[in-house]
Amino acid sequence: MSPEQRVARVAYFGYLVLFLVYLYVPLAVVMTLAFNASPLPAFPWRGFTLGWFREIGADPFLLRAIWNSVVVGLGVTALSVTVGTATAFLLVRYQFPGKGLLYALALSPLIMPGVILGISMLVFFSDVGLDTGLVTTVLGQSSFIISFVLLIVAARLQKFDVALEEAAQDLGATPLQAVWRVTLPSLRPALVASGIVAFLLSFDNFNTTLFLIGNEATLPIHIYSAVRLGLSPKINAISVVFIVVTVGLGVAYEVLRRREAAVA
Amino acid sequence: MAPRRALPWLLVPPLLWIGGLLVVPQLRMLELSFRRKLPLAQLGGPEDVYTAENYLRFAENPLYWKVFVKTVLSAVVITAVAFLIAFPIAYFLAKVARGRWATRLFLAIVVPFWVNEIVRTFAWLLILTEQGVLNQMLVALGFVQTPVSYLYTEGAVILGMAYAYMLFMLFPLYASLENLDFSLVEAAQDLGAGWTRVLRHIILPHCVPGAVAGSIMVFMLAVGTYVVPAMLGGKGAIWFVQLIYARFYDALNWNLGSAFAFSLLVLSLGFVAGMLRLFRLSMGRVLQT
Repeated sequence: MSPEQRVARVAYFGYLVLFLVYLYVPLAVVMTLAFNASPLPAFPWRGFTLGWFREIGADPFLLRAIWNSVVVGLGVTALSVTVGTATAFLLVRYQFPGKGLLYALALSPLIMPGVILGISMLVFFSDVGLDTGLVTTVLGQSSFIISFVLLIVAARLQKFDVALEEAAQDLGATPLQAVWRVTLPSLRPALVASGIVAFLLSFDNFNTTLFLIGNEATLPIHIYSAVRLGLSPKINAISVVFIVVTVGLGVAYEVLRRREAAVA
Repeated sequence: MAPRRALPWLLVPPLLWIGGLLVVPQLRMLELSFRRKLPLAQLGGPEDVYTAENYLRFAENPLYWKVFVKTVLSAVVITAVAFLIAFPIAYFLAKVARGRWATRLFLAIVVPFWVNEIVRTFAWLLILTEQGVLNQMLVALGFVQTPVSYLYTEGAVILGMAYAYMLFMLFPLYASLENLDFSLVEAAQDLGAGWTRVLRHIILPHCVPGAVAGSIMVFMLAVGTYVVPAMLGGKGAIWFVQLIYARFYDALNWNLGSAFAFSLLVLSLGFVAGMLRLFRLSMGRVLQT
């Protein structure tokens, strides 16, 4: 290896290290300051405390926001996995006029800013007399999360061997029984993965929720309002909880995805 | 195989979703943007006609369109910065790192990807604020005497966004570089091509679908964000979505707000169509990455 090549190599490696520092230092700052016994989320270090986490339990608005996030997340997961799977069956198994258009519309939310979805539904829901709140938030978030579920489930369904379903029917199963007992179980890993993604996207969502949540709050909305009211290490403690939940779910999804990839 | 009888039933959920949550609301938003804001009593009266007034107001008021143009240009800058920073990392991850190290590095990069945008922005708020980490470091090292606030500037907003959306560029790039056949690179090098030529004629053309997918994601997130400029920009850097939000919640002019929102939608779809045409790609090809 020539000296120039060696220099280039070291520079490349140094860049990679710098990138990781850039990625992690801000998160490390947030997490460290959640344990600092100082009234402001700043250094110097004044000793270790879990006091800021205890304050989470004493804040009814925050607890309500977390509860709302979980309820909305579960609602979105149920709705998105159901509708997304039905749409996947429709698009993978059937030919019908207008299929191309339906497919394009089904994926269109993926290339639209979330605020547009939120605003258009705010306008529409107010027309039909549906007040903003948790229900409108579930519908609004599902409008684009279904598209993600569709992509994940359709990819798996395409690989499924239809002969298995036909065999079940030859053995006396009705078509519905064959789907229920043979196809859906084999789709299970994809359904679970898409469910995790749906919950995560919902739990994380801000842009669409902002316009549809009304007087309630989800966790991201609550954090945003709290920051506007003033900095406190309590927000750091909430952030730590938030990071643990989303990273945990994210890693679970990644493990599932890798297992799926190994099977396929 | 697929029984025809089931077709009508299977059509119901997708049609309710696409019709009720996407098509009808957006058409309604479009319709509202072409109507005047009127007091309740005058709705349906002679004043209640279709007009392009809202769009004209948008075009005539520099306070409005300057924010729009600035938002778009900043989003382009953020997309370019994200590509330049992410490309060497994506290449390293896909082609240089091997075996166990590649898996570990991938995990190390994917974990921050799952952290919420607001938390990431909050992190930069703590770093850039007057009593923040950056100032404490600079003062301690003697680079500055008195702390300055880096917040509430365009620079802070762009930095925060590049950070928040970086990984949406990195992963599509990584996916498209991963299936690059390295023997092509070796063959070019055997034939005497230097690194710059290999990069220009083999590697970059190969990662175009990933770069386009990443650019669409980053541009869309940057142009449509509310949180990052609201937290880091304050009054010093207003973003277009904040203007829209203010029409809906402060000025209560939904008609003008809808016109703003529809303009943003057209811009976003225009960006996607432009990118696909420029690089002669189909949406399906981009979605694969």
